[in-house]
Amino acid sequence: MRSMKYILKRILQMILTLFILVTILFFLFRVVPGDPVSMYIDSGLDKESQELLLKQYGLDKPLLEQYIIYIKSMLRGDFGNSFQYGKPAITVIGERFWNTLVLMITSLAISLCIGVFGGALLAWKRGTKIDTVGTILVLAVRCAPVFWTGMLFLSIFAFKLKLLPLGGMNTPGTNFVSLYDKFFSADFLKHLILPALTASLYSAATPLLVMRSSMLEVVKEDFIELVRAKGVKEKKILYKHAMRNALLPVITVFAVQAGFAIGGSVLIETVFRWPGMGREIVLAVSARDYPLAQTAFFLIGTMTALFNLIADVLYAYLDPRVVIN
Amino acid sequence: MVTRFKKCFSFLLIFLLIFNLAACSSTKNTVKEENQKEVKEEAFTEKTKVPEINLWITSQTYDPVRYEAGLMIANSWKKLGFKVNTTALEWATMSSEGMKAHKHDAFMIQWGGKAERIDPFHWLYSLHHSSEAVEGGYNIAGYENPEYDKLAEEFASNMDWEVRKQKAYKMQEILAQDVPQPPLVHRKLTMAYNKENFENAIMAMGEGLYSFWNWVNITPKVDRKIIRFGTVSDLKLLNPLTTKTGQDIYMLRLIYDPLIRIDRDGKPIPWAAQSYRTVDDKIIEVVLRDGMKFHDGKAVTVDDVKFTFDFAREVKSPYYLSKLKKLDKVEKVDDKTIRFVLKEPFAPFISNGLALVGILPKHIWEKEYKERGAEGILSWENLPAIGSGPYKYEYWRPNEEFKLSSFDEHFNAPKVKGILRIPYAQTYGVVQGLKSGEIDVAGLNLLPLQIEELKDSSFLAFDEIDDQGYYMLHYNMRKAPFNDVNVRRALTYAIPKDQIIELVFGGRAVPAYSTVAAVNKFWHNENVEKLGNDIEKAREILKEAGFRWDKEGKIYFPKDYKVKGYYSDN
Repeated sequence: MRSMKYILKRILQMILTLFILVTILFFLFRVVPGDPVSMYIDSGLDKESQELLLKQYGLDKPLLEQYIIYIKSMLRGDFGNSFQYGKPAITVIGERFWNTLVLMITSLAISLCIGVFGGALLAWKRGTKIDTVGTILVLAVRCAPVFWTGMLFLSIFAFKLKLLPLGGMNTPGTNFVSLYDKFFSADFLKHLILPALTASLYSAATPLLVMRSSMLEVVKEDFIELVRAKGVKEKKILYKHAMRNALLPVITVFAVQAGFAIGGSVLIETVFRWPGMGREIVLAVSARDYPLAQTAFFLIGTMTALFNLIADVLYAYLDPRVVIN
Repeated sequence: MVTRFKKCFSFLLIFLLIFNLAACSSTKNTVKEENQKEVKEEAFTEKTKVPEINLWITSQTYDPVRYEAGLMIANSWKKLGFKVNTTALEWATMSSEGMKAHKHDAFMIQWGGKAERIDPFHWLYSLHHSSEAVEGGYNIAGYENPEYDKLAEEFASNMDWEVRKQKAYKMQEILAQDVPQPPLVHRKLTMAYNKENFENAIMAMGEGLYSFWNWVNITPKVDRKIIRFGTVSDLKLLNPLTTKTGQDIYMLRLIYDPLIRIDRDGKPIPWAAQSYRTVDDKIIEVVLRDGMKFHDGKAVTVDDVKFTFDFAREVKSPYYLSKLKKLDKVEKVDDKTIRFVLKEPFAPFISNGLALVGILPKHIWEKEYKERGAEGILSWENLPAIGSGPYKYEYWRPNEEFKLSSFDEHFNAPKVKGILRIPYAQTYGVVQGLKSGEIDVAGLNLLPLQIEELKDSSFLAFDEIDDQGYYMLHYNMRKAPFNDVNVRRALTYAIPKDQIIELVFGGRAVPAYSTVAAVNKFWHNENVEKLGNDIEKAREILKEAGFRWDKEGKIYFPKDYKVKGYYSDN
């Protein structure tokens, strides 16, 4: 009962946060110089056509009126039509969303595994060569820009060894009937390997380092000494007692990372020609496609808030000492 | 008590004395300053100083050319004593502040040399007629020369090509002297394709391998008859009524047939029309070609043609409306013949109107219009796009691939079986795609470094053609010092065009002097004044016009300065 109340309160807070976010986004995009029409003047949009388009986009109305219309239609679930694509912004995002989701879930899963087990291992072997070399390696990978690692992988695995494809989600020219066909084929998996690997190497570093330092705290605790004194095997101490307790901070860090990951990684999607949201968001911002950009950022905001909420609830589950109130 | 009063009094006296002295000396100072100012007035004051020039460039990653060339131009102008500031702006900002609001001092853009611009109406009329000098208009420089306006109007309304050519020649001469916005350089468009898989590729004027003629002529040499075409950006919207990006238009031209097409030399030729003739200055009669079909099997009729033009105007299609401004009405004469009646004689109507409007199937658009209404029809995604062109729509997965297949019943059916268009998001990807054989044709103008990278791939053919579009430097004649023809001429003379070509383009460009490109042979006037590459001449012009320099070499306006807006005022 008490926890239900807490969750409800958190959800209300979340809604308020999102409303503020939507308002800021709305005005932010419109305050920035530039508009969605004048950038096409050179390709042959004369002044009458510009006015027609602005009217069609509803940008001829006063800012406040635009805002009210926007909020009203958003409450009805209508996020407006994308200026570039004509169709509803939410549809445009929906098309890219699954592509991003598949890539991001894969890479997050890999990075979580590397992070948790790697971090635990390094902490367990603290002071040994494994720890020193491992930490340096992790930091080095973290510092390497993703586009650079991506291009390096491409030139090795795609160009030199010709093992994996250059980019994209499927071999050009394949047509499929359903989403299932698209995502569950050997061809798709082959295309997934390099981008997922690049993304996970980059995003594994943070949880790994957090896990390592959290583990170092935990192994100093008295209860570890106690279980050790009880004669429990080292492996069991590591997995069952130390790791479980060290996991908490990693969950928080990871939840935030997951929220952002929904926005996709622009660099990875660009390097690997992955048709995801990150690329689309950059395009939307530079083309001043307000509805599309707003919707995308709104979605990222919602996801981040949602994952934070989940992390908090999960906390209570993983650590019985945390009392919800 | 008394002594105290005395003390106070003397204190006050001393204070007053000091105050007085101070006041006196300060008045003396101001008098002195005023005298100095008077002396300066004759010489170099803030008032006669030529205002600072703000040159807008792009970031280096967005366009290295505009960045590098911009810096070179600024340096050259600084040598003349001008104070020049270069600011890197994002394109969206530059376009709304400069292209639209005309708030710039000077900035550069790359005007595309599309086929419909081979008739130089765009270059000579739109970019320079005074009616376009308003906000959002094409006359970005704010050039308002009555003599020129008159020529431009005659050029637009006379149906006789020889007369138009004469006017065009004269206009180019005037523009080269007045330099409201000098063209700088034409790129040498260099594009590559896989010559082991395909042959008969056509690099056409203005569009290179993007040209319509390339897609109906390119021929497969191997079993794989679907051509793979790599580009940087994806399509956006295939609704011909509202499309605005060049990429969409290139694909729509393959799906929809216009009555007229512009051939490789820029001349209009009948396409969906069997023939056409100008009945008089205001009436064009078109006979429709026999036996044409839409991709869904229905026949193309005169009613479809009439519907297209009426419909586009009824729903106020932003894309078509500008092409059809001079159209009064469309009349059906008989089952094969249709007449276009213009409001006033307008020569480019054939090449810039009829040639750009693809015939829409009435049975589809009428139905959709009823369901969606005027606003809904403009944002309709129109998939699958059904036209009567040589290619038909197959599928499109955004940011992944787009496929067209050949329409074999077309009177000019393509030689390939289809086009697979792959957007790579960045030029590096396109180049790698070409190198690895993933794509057959790159829709990309290759830069010197990229050519270097690809030159060892023996299966690639490189074609090149001078661009008819150009990098143009837009001054703003609404502001000093650009309102002065001598300043504009001097600044233009100071532009190191040859050096820019050498250093920025690695030699892969040609200097531009006339507003109509040299590659556009019919319309180009060779004998215009050629401004550029001569900083001494620039200094001479300024000196002759009375401009002065102070000890530090900064430039000042002449004494008793009168602005001369046009060359004919000199």
